[in-house]
Amino acid sequence: MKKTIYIILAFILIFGLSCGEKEESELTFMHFWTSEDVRPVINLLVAEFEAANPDIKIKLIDLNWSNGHDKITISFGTKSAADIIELGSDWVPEFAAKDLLMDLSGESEPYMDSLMGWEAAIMNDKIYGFPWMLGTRVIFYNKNLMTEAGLNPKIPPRNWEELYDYSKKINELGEQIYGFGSNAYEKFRLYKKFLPFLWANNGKVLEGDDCMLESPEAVEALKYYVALSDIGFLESQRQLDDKFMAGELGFIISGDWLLRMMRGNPPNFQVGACLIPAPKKDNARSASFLGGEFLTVNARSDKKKEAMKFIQFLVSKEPNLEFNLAAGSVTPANKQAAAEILRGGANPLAMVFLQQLNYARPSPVHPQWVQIQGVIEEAVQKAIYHKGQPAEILKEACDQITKIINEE
Amino acid sequence: MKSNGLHQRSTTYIFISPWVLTLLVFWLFPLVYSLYLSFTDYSLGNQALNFRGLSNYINLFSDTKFLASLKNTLIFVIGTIPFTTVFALLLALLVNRKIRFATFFRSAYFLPSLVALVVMALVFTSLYQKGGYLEFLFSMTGLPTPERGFLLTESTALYSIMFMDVWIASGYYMLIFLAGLKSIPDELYEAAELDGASRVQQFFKITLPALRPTALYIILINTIKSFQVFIEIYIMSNDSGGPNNATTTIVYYIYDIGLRGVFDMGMASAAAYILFLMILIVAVIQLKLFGYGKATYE
Repeated sequence: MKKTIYIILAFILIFGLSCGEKEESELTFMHFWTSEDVRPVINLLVAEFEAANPDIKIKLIDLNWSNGHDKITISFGTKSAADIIELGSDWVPEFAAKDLLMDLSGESEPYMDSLMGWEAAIMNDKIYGFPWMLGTRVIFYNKNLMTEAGLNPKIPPRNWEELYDYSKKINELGEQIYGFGSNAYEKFRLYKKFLPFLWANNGKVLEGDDCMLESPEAVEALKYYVALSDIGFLESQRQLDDKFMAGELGFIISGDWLLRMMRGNPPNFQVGACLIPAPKKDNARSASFLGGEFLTVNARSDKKKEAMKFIQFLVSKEPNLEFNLAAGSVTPANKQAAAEILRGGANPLAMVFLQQLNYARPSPVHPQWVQIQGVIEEAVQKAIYHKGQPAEILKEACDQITKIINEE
Repeated sequence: MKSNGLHQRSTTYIFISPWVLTLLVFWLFPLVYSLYLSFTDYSLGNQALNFRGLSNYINLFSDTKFLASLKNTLIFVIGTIPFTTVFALLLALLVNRKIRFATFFRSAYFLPSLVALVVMALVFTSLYQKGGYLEFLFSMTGLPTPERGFLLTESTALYSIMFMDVWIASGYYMLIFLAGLKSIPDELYEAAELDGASRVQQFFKITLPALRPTALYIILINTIKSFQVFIEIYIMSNDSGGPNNATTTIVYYIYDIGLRGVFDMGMASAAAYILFLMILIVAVIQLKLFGYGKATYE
């Protein structure tokens, strides 16, 4: 009996010691698991990088979109976050404000011109992340329904007035046909749908620490958004995408995931895409939400040099293009990779995304943005349900936002 | 002899230690620690931990969202438990009779509780949506349909979720009632019949009193579960507790403020303790009403 125990102990010791010895440095990378197509590509990229840098070993830690943010927060809280962390654009300022991310201003300097989308990673003039994969939203429309409604499917809506008008005409086509897909309240999603209208009308959420949602521009934008919702179909994004694919929606604001859906399951109608329109005013321009994935380095990491090597590899042209294609994104952060997609030029819908990117903006960079966006979403929801006048609702929202900002 | 007893006792402790340790580390410690946290401003995000006294509790009662969650949770509890209990009892009485296909009906009614709640919630979400089957059914029978689908209209959202809950839970509790019915000795009914008692009299004088412990168990467990309703809310409101907080329950509120966004663990712990107190009070009342501990037959 005793002998067996000694033997087992001896084995444990040998095993433990051999594990303790490490020749190469292990770099941990928390990244989001998007689809099965992505896994082989990321494995390939890691293998390629490890072959070129035999002293570095990459360990992937998978996250998913439904609880990734929570896991990252908890891992920072328990001091177990990875060296490199993939963060959604909104989260970079959130974690940077708590000094959890490394300042990469120096390292990013040579890349300023070759990558796009830096805005979301800049806070207090410091850069905290490298843009990797960008994402924006455009308007998709059903050309068949436009024809049925007596509209020219070759000329998509060019301004707010036309978008409303066309939606209304399509809405009147029949019982199960709706003009505009209006997003129901989903946390961290609804504000991305409203802000483009606010921005296109030259409105703002914040100016410094002042809430700007009481401005006439903001009120006008919300009024328009409510009017559009009133003649639309209110549902969650997933249901709206399905409804559009079923040919029952005229217009929908959606992202490149819809392109992916169409690739797998082509709809039986003609699909068009256009920029999210602005009001018919002289100084109004299209606007959309700029989201994306950023590569950041944990402030506690002692492997900054190695981490930067890997990040620089991931954002270089070929790896960036390969990864974006696998993930179904048509908007890589690397400009050369984006140019490659343009050159490939097969899908005209993808072109619209690249075009919209010129007019896309990230959420305002503010350390309390997570709370602020929550207030905006509740306000938009109230307005959609006609729980008050847009002006009153926005005033109330501004009071709350001011309180949140002053609390800290 | 004495040392042998000691040895036996220590062996006992060693054998139960894994369970006791698990209980201490993973149950009791978090329970006590969260009570402490409810008096602090602890948040996972900013790592601060300052003592705030009762301010979390005071702030909760001035938060309209929390008040809405209190109201919704109470509606949920009061609106589901009587229905679930009565339906479960009726179903149990039905399948307890010597009818054809009784076993089939038993399995059929029990089936919904075997399917994962997430799946059930997704199925019902599509039934409830605008242009969905239920709306079709309603309009066929001339009933009014909600403007934005059942789950996105404020006045129907919570009740739609409650309806699903009653439907799923009834079958499960039917099985427990059935077990209770089976344990009533046949002699009691035979004796009653000899005494000339009618069916109805038998039900009220024998069946119901004999089922009292079973009913207490069912109501108690179901009350606790209903106070903690979360999964169906999370799925069927698209993780929003909406529209306009119409489906925000206490546990959803706790999740919303404590486990994401601002990670306000202090407030979340305070809300959790309020929920704990509510369940405790209701449970004690139920035990008293059912005369827990008294003899079954009088």
